[in-house]
This record gives sequence, structure tokens and C-alpha cells, in this order.
Amino acid sequence: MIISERQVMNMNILDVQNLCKTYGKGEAEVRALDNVSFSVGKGEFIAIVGESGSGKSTLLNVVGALDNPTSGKVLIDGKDIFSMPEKKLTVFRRRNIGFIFQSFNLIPELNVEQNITFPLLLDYQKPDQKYVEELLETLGLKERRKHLPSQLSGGQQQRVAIGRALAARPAIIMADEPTGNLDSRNSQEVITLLKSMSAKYRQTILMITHNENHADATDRVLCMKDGRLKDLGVAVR
Amino acid sequence: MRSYLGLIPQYERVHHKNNRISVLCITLSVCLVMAIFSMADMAMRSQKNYFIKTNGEYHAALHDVETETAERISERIDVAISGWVYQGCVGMLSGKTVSFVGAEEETMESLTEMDMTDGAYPSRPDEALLNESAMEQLGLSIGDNVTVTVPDGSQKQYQITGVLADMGSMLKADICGMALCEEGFLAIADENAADGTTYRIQFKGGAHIQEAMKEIKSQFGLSDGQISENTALLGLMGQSESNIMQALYLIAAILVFLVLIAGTVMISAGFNTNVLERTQFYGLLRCLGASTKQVKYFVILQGIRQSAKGVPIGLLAGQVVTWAACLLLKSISGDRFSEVPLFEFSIIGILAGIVVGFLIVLLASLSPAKKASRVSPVTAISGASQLTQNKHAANTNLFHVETGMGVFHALSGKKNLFLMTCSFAISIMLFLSFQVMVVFLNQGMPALAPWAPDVSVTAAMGLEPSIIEEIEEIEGVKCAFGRMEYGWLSVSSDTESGTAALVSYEENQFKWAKEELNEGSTDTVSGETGDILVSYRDGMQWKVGDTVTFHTPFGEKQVRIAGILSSTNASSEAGSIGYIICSEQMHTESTGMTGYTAVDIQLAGSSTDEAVSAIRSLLPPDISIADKRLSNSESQSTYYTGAVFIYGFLFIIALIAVFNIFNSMNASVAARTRQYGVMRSMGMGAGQLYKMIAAEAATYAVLGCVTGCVLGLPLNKMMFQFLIAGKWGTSWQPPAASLLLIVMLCFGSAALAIRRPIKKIRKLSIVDTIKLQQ
Repeated sequence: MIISERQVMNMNILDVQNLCKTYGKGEAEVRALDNVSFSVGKGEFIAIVGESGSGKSTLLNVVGALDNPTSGKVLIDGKDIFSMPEKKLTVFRRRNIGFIFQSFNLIPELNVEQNITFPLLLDYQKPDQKYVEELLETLGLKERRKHLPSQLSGGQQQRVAIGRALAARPAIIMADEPTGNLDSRNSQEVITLLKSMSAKYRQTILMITHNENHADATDRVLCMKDGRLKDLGVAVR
Repeated sequence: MRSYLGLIPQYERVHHKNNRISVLCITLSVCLVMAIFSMADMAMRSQKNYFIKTNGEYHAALHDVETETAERISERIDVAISGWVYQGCVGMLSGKTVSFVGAEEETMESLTEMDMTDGAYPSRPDEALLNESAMEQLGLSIGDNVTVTVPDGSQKQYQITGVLADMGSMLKADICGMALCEEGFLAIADENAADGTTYRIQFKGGAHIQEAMKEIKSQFGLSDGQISENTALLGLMGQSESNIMQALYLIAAILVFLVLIAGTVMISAGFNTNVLERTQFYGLLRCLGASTKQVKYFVILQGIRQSAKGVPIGLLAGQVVTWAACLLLKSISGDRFSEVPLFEFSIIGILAGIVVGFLIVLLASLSPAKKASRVSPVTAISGASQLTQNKHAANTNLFHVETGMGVFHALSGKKNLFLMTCSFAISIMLFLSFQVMVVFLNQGMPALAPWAPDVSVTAAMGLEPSIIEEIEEIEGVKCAFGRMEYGWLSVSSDTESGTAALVSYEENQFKWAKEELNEGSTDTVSGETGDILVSYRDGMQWKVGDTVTFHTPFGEKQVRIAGILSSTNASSEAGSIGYIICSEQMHTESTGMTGYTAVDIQLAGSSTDEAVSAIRSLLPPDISIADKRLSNSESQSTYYTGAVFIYGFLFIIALIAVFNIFNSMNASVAARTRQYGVMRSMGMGAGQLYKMIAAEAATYAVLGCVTGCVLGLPLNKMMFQFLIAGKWGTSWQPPAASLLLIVMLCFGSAALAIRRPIKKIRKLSIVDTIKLQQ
């Protein structure tokens, strides 16, 4: 069977099918995710918006294999991640999913370069030095490669976190309010950087944001409300 | 809830699992302190009773004083009892030496170590008490008359009115003991009585004994030699001025201080872990308007509440440990700790446990309380991680990233690293130092030597070698072996000359001598090779291979030194150049002796009394038979007691080290929990996390072991040379087995210490871990 270029372009990197997550039992039961289904194609930059408590973070945690769903399936690159045993899932996460947190979460004992290559070091891989240099250059961190996180500003720390998420060339990056702890100038810089990375490396990014302007910068916007997902389609510019 | 402090019990109810470690620390500290104080109290009571039993309950003894002086002293208001104890005169009873003692009944009962087990105390000059084994050997009973050769050589008849308890020293010297009334003793006393006679004084309770003794000395113009204290008893009463006792008081004070420090560090570390785990909660309190002082009070009150739980459990555990230790002491150490009280309470121990428990908690909670009060309110509301201010990045080139980070975690906290390294190193150093003391105890106790006899027979005229077989046929005799001993053999060599005691060994003794060999070999000595063994002595110039000439009554004989022994089994006194061991054949050729001058007998089984009686009846009556069973068991019990105390102390030290690493690892993991969650989200496997925590613990253990060995081995060598090499000539060798044991224990405890935090981390879901403190 011959697969055309267009078909490859449209191949889904992420398939979420009937995802449910409930907390508590009986009257105290809370449905954080209620039959959520959606697909993301390779290279897409997607924003998830919604009110607080709507289930955005739960969705990101479950799709990122940090948490288990009550029911439903998550397929990343065609693989059902929750059918994998714990050990295999850890390795899968290490190689295929990158994370960017609101509070940066850098390793304070490692310098900028070590923080960026951390997922590769965990995988006992020798980092591709050319790629690392390119990342440092793109992120504007070349001069600060030997600096420790405590010697960086918030914006710089988040750029390191972006570099770390990109280092293993993962299938998908989960960004949980990456601008939440930054001022407007740094926030805009981070969004621009994510957008350019998505374009440059055809990197799939799933980003939670409260900021409508940031959502506008993405390819598609998904809206969470009471655990249900609504596809708002292509962002209105 | 009346005040904000009412939150404590509610908070603890929810987080009861986290409080366990703190309560456990308090329990352990209280248990440790109470057990140590209670044991010290019990040991003091036991030793006091023991010294009263073995020395008599007198506080001071006067020598060579006039009767008038004695009378005036007895009238002093602070004197409870006083009386004359006459000793020093000897006589003969049925061919055996009799040692006489004379005193009035009250004096004998209260101020001497002697005990009447049966009958009545002599009231007339011709009445006497005789010791139990002499009564048995001579077939006497109460009411019988005995004829004794008194010091002036005349014969005197006494009626036995009672039985005197046996004493180890009497049996060992193979002599009888006879107690007379004061009048009876004075009637037979010769010039030797003056040396052995003392006027003993027991002061009233509450009297300042040292002051009283000084007063007596100056009032009656007594010299230093005329007045002496009962050091052992006064020492236990805390009234001794003896240098040794002062040193012991100092050691006890240092030990108490060490225990307090160890307890404080242990509880403090436990509280610290709690505070680190609750940073967000304290931040929240601050956010809601709690002042730094209020947070401080909160932590201190939390500590006191934990004390209220931990102290009673600790007291209970301490009491159980004390009772178990007392039972153990009584069962293993026989006579030495025969007076140890069982199932008694020590008020001092209980008070120490309670006071120290609460005091330590108060001291220990001050630092964490300060830390908690400094928690910024921002910690509670913002997820921004407060980044550790590191100066360098972790080295990820040398090891895998997880190992490198584990090592870095250990090395980055200088204060913690120092404490942990010291904790391990001190354990190793103490273990290595005490190991020498156990070796010293072992080496210094002849009763523990494999050849240690239960019964020793000495016959200056010599016994036929066939006697060995006859003795061995007696039921209850394990083995018997004889020696020919020639006291004054003149010997010379190129380097040294003098006299030596020439001792012959037989097969058994040569076999045991192998264990005492400092250098050389014993193999050729038992044959007809002309080889000998020599005993080690300080300043000895002989070496293995040197030729020595015997100047015997039959001419000169040249022999070769085949080995040097650290100690020898001989009954006679050593010559100026010690003992020379040879085969029986060489001994006969050199001295002409054919009979054994010493025969040692080891007994087995329970019917040893019958065996000793049978041995006595087999041998001629004029031969001296020393019964060493009692003194041997006393020495053995001293050894075991010493060993139990030394190892007990080491166990406590090791326990403190284990708890320190336990707390430190807990604190470290608690402080980095969120970071671990982040790493897990980045794809760090559970195994890698385990490796990281293990690497941290291993770093502490490796550094501690290296420091401990670097400092401990020279200490071990120095102590060995001071205590053992100088005395027995044994050359120092690294204590490989002990070293291996303590290093394994250190690593084992480190491995044990990381189990709980790893288990805790594994249980946490990644999302919860990241959310922690966020």
C-alpha cells in the first residue's frame, strides 16, 4: 500500500478516545473528564482553554501519562499508552512526551545544558551536540549554558524548560500554563518561541492557557467545560 | 477550638503517619537515657552490695593505732559502727595452712567480707568458725573439736561453733580459714598480727566521710599510711577522692553528655524532617495571619504533644530493657553481679527519662521552630519552587545522571555531610577501639586460656607421669596434663644471659601454644630436635633462630629458639629472662627431673565437687591442690560482663548512627519530593530514583567508612601497642574481620535507612508529587 504525502501529514500523533476520569464515589463523585475524545495531527499547536476546575489540567496529566484515566484510551503515535506496563510507560514518556510546567521545575543541581539534556541523560543516551547547540542558540541561552537555574530570570528558566521538553524530540509536548508565572513581555516571548518551535521542528504542542491572546497564536483551540471538551476549531485571529 | 493551637491535635490526627517517626525518635531517646541511668543505678546498687559482700561495709580503716585512739574515734558522733579486725596469723590444721581472723560478732558481720553461713558465732577464746570446704574435707561438723597448730607452734583445741563461707582466694591458695572472737585471736597472736590488723570504721549516713577522715588524721596525728579509705565502696557512694574514681566519675559524666547530645541530635533531626514536610502548611499559617512567634509556639507545642506520647512508651521500653539487662547480667556473670537487683525500679532512671525526654524535645524543637517561623507565606500560595542556591552543577560525566545527582545531593549540604560522615566515622572508630579492649580482656584473663585448669596440683618433689592416667580415669575429669618446671636454669646467648624457668610441655600444651605464637613455629619443639620456645618479655633481644646455651648440672647444652610465645602456662615464677619451653625429653636431659612438678586438671560435667574430692583422695595429703573453679568463673564472668557492656555501648552508638542516617535520608527525601516528581514526569524510572537516593546514602557511608578507617586504624594500632603488644609482644595486624563487620553494618544501616523514603516516594503518584508544595 502506498501512503501519500498528504496522508502522512494528516496522520494523528494523538488520539484520545472516550476518556473519563472520576474522583470520589457516590454523592461525592466528581467527573473531571467526561467522555473526552479528540485527535491531534503532527505539528499542530493546540490550546486548551476553560475555566478553573473545568478539567484542563486533569486532561493534560492523563494524556501525558502522569495520571491514569478511569476509562477510555489515549493513543500516542498509534500506541495505547495505558496498555503498557509501568516500566515501559516510563521509558515511553521519557522518549515521546515533553513537559513544560507553569513553575518551570528545573533541576536546581544541574546547569542549563544539563537541564536541557536531562531526558536524554535519563535514557543513557549521548546527546546530539549539534542539536543541543541549535536549541541553545534558538532559545538564546548559549551564553548561559553553564549557569545554574538559580542564576536565571523567570523567562530564561522557562526557556530552559522548553529546551528540555524539545531535547528528546518527543512526539508531543504538554505545556501547563507555561506563562502563568511570567510577566507579559516574557509571556509573549515564550508563546512566540513555542509557535516557532512547533513550526521549525513540526512539534506537536498541547498547551493549557487562560490567556485568549495566547490561544489566538495557536493552530486550534479546544475548550473544556465541566469535564467535557468542545473543539472551537481554528483560532480566530 | 479555643485558640489556633487547638489545630495541633486535629492536624496530627490527619497526619498521624508523619508523626510516627518523631514519636519513635523520642521513644528511643527516652528508652536509651532511662536504660542507661537505670542500669547505672542497678549496677551501682549491685556493685555496692558486691563490695560490701567482698570487702565489708566499712568506710575507713586505721592501721597501727593505739587502743585508746580507737576508743576515742568510736565515740565520735558521726561513727555508726567501728571495731578491730585482726588478721595476719597463720597456723596448721591437718597438714594445711590455716589463716586466722579475729573480730567481735558485730564487726565481723558488718565490717568484713566474711560471712557465717551456719551455727553460732564464737563467744569464748576456744571456739571458732571454720570454712565450709575445710569442714567437708576434714569431715567435721558443728560441735566437733579440732586441734590446730597456732602461730607459736603449740597445739590448741577449738570447738567448731559455726561455718564460715568459702572465699575464692582461700580455695585458690588451698588454705583453710578460721574465725575467732577478739579474745581468742589475741591469745594466739604473734608479731605478724600487727601487719594485718586494722581498726575499721563505718560512718553514719549523711556524714561527709572525706572531711571526717581528714579530721581524724589531724586530731590524732596519723600519717597517710595509717588511714585508708574503702575506695570501691566510697567510689560508689560518690565520696571517693581516689584518682581512679575521679576519672570514672568524669567518664560517666562524658557518657551522660554524649547520650544527651545523641538524643538531641536524633530528635532534632526527626523534627527537622517534619518541618520540611510541612513547609507549605506553615506557609499557609503565615498567610492566614500567624506571626512568626505563633508558628514557633505551634512547632514547640507539637513537640511537647509528641513527647507526651513518646515519653511513656520510652519509659516502658527502658524499664523492660533494664530488667532484661539485669537478668542477663545475673545469668552470665554469676558471682560478680550476683547482687544485681531484679525487677526493681530506679527512680533516678525514671526521672532522667522524663526530664531528658521533655528537655531534649524542647531543645530539639527550637531549631526547627525557628526554621518553620521563617517559612515565607509565598510558599503556600505560589508554586514557584524556591531554588536551592548551589555553587556548582552536579557532575553527570563521571556517573549516570541519577547517580551523579545522588552523590551531589550528599556532597552539597556541607553541614549535613559533616554530621553524617562523623556519625559513621565515630561508630567505626569506637568499634575499632573497643575491639582492642575485648582482645585485651581476652588476653588478660588466664582463666579464659584454653589450658586454664579447674584444679592445679603442685608437688615440689614431683609426681610420677602415670598419675595423669589415674586422674583422667576419675569421672568428671575432662583432661589432665603435667609439666616439669625447673626454676633457676642458667642460660646464655650472644645477646642476653640470666636465669630462666625451664618448663616442659606435653602434646596438649604444645597444641595450645600454637595459638599463643607471636612468631616462629612450635612443630619442631616437641620432637628431639633441640629446639625450644621462649616467652615474650618487654625489652627481649632474642629472635627466632638464635642459639641459646643451657648451663645445666650435667654440662652445657646448645638449643635453638624455634618460636616466641605471647604467654605461657607455668606454675613457677619466671626467671630474669622469662620462661623457656621444651619437650619432656629435653627437660629430663637438662635437669635430671622425671616427675611432674605441676599437674593441671580440667573438669567437665556437673559433678565437679565429687571429682575434686576424688582427686584429693588420689594424691598424697602433703601436696598442694588449688581449686580454681570459683576464681575462674569470677574471671570469666568479669570478661563476659565487660564484653556485654562494651558491645552494648557499641550497639547504642551504632543505633544512633543508624537513626542519624535514617533521619537525614528522610529529611533529604522530604525536601526533594517535588523535584523527584518532576524527574519522574521527565521519564525517570522508579529504579533510577532508587539509585539516586541509594547513591546519596552510599556517599555518606563511603566517606564515613574511609574517615572511620583512616582515623580508626591508627587508633586501633596505638591502643593495641599500648595495651597488648607491650605486654605480650603480639604484633599488630589490621583487624580485618572486625573492620569488615563494621563496614558491612554501616552499609547495611544505610541500605535500611533509605527503604522508608523510597517506599514513600514510590507510593506517591507523579501528579500528587508535583502538586506537593505547589
